[in-house]
Amino acid sequence: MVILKIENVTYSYKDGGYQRVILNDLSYEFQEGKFYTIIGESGSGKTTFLSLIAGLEKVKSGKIYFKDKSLDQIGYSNYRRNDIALVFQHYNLINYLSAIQNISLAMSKTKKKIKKQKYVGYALLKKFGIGKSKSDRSVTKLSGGEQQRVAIARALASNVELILADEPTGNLDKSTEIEIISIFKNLALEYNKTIIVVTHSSDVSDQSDIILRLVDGKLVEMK
Amino acid sequence: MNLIKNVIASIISKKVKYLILLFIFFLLGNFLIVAIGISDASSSAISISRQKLNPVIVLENNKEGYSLDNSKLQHIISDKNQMLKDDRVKVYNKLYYMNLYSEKTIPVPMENDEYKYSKSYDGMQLVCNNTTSMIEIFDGTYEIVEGRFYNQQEIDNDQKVILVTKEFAQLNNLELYDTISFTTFADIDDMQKYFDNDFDGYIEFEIIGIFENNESTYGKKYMDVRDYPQNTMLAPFSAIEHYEDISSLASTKMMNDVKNLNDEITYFAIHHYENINPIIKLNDPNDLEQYVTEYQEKLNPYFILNSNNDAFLKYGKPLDIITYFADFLLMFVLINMVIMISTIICIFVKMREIEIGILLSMGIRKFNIILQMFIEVIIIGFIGISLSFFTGKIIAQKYGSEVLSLSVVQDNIVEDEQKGIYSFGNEKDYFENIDQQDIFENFQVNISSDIIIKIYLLSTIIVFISSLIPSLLIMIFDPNKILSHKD
Ligand SMILES: Nc1ncnc2c1ncn2[C@@H]1O[C@H](COP(=O)(O)OP(=O)(O)OP(=O)(O)O)[C@@H](O)[C@H]1O
Ligand SMILES: [Mg+2]
Repeated sequence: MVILKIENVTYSYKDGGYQRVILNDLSYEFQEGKFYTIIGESGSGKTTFLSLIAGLEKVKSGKIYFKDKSLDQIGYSNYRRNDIALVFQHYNLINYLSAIQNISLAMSKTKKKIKKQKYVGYALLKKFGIGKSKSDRSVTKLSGGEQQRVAIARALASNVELILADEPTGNLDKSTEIEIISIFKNLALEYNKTIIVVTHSSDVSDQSDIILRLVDGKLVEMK
Repeated sequence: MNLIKNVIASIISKKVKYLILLFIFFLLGNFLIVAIGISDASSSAISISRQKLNPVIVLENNKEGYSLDNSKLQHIISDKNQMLKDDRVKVYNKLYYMNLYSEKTIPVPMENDEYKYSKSYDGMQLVCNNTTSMIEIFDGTYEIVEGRFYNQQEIDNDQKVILVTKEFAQLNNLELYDTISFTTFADIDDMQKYFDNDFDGYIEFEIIGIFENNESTYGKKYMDVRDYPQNTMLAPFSAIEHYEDISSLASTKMMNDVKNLNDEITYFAIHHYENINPIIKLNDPNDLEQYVTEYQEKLNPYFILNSNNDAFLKYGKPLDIITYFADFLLMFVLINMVIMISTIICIFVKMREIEIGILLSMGIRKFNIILQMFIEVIIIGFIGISLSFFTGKIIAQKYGSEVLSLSVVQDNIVEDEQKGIYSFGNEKDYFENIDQQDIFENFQVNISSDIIIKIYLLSTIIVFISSLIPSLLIMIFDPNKILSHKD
């Protein structure tokens, strides 16, 4: 089943005198419950693509559909609140809140009400290796890997079907990277989540169901 | 629930920044309290002083009034009557004074005989009015301790009812509903021959009320026994009108006889009464100026409405100045608060850009983000303002009286010496004197619960207005710009 449909999306910006095209009439259909990775050269437009499908930026040319409804119809803010979760390389968490408070924030923002928020939150964090005492700590006192795990736990806590991540393991060491990737993989398998991860690491892309390469403003399936 | 938790966590995490904001609120709170406290103190001092000044209006004849022609006179009379029927009028006195003697009663003797003006005629003074109350009843000068004041029916039916003082009643063993007989002639025996058939020179009253006269004799030198407050009696004018007419007729006959006057002067009490100028008390002293201006225009140039406003204006000027100063300070503080707090919140918002970006990327509504910011600031604001109550009050009291004394216009006024002139004789002096000292005593900076509520309300409004620009800043925040391209 198609969860996300990209239809003839073109993205360009003015660079000095002429128009630089980054995404060129791009069309693609993402299937539900699959783990995708997007690779490509630096500056090829991966982050740009992600911010478009995350509803952080509006498409000027072309259309993006989430389950048959265009993002315009859903509303960009509604879409971000209810349908997707984002994980970035940096700046994922509200730094004055504890891990559990960050999770609660994600739980309470959606229209799907989650009962026993705290209990579910602690359980989720535990599942990702964050114990009770660490959960109550300010997130700034957690390691980079721990912070990313909290961010993924938060993505899961918001109970959405589509999780988007931009180089989530970018500044983590190899072993932590493997850990995080196995978590993503598991999410797709166990929870039927659709995962789209932008990465430079082949260790990450090797684990995914489908590898997409962004070249010349188009997505090309590699695997 | 979560919102409050997040607010608290946010405040704790930004301790230093919020301490700065707290300090600014505290600082500005002091100014706010000083301004509002002083403004409130001076406006209440103004109204207390007005009250103390006895806000009555005395109608006085203007010299130019003597040359009234008849048509104008009619006009003026109707305006004069209209003036008394005005809704703003609480009560008015239009007093007719009459000296009365009685063989069966004795007046209350004066405490200090030394200042007695004349030893010959020890009489009583009847004060007549044509309404069912008097200014003195309202201001507590006359306190009815037994019985009542005369009513409209008694006025309409010319009933001979009277109120006497407690001291006079005790001295003469008089009780309520006793009758008491007086004459206006000090030497009635010599007058008998001028009386008509059935007139014996006496008028009989029924006592319907006993009152205490709290009128002060302070500063009144050379009184007659009848001017002594305890020798005042009260009756409706209509009760004595007829008696006054026939007795003056007898007097006229006597004068013609003795002095051999060619022209007989006929005196009618009612004519005299109509020309008596009223003293008016208004319901609301604050209407005084407006009322006076309104009727002064109509009665120009024949009458002068004297409201003792000049005295108030003279002594109350420092209060006006200070009110002006306080209002200016208030405006200044409010504007500065908005500018400063607005700027600080803007800086805060800019510093929290990433946090706001994350929240926006999560799809959290901008309204909720603004609300959280607003609540954070208002909590800090309330704490800062609350702390400033303690210091602000002290400053306001100290600063306030200092400003007040600075604004005092030094003026040496010799009015007190002139006062004796007015109090001599029948006419009463309705104007209490106040001095700067009185006004100073009435100036009390009091941070009442009303003011506290007002200050919290103002602070909320200030925080609200100060949040407008930062809110706009948040509204134009783009999470994509903040997050994606910052990495
Ligand atoms: N609005 C814009 N204005 C100017 N330049 C832009 C804009 N949007 C994207 N770009 C440029 O487009 C190119 C693609 O950027 P993007 O961040 O999508 O690349 P990327 O594939 O994510 O690269 P990296 O792997 O280094 O993260 C970059 O050169 C970027 O500077
Ligand atoms: Mg990128």
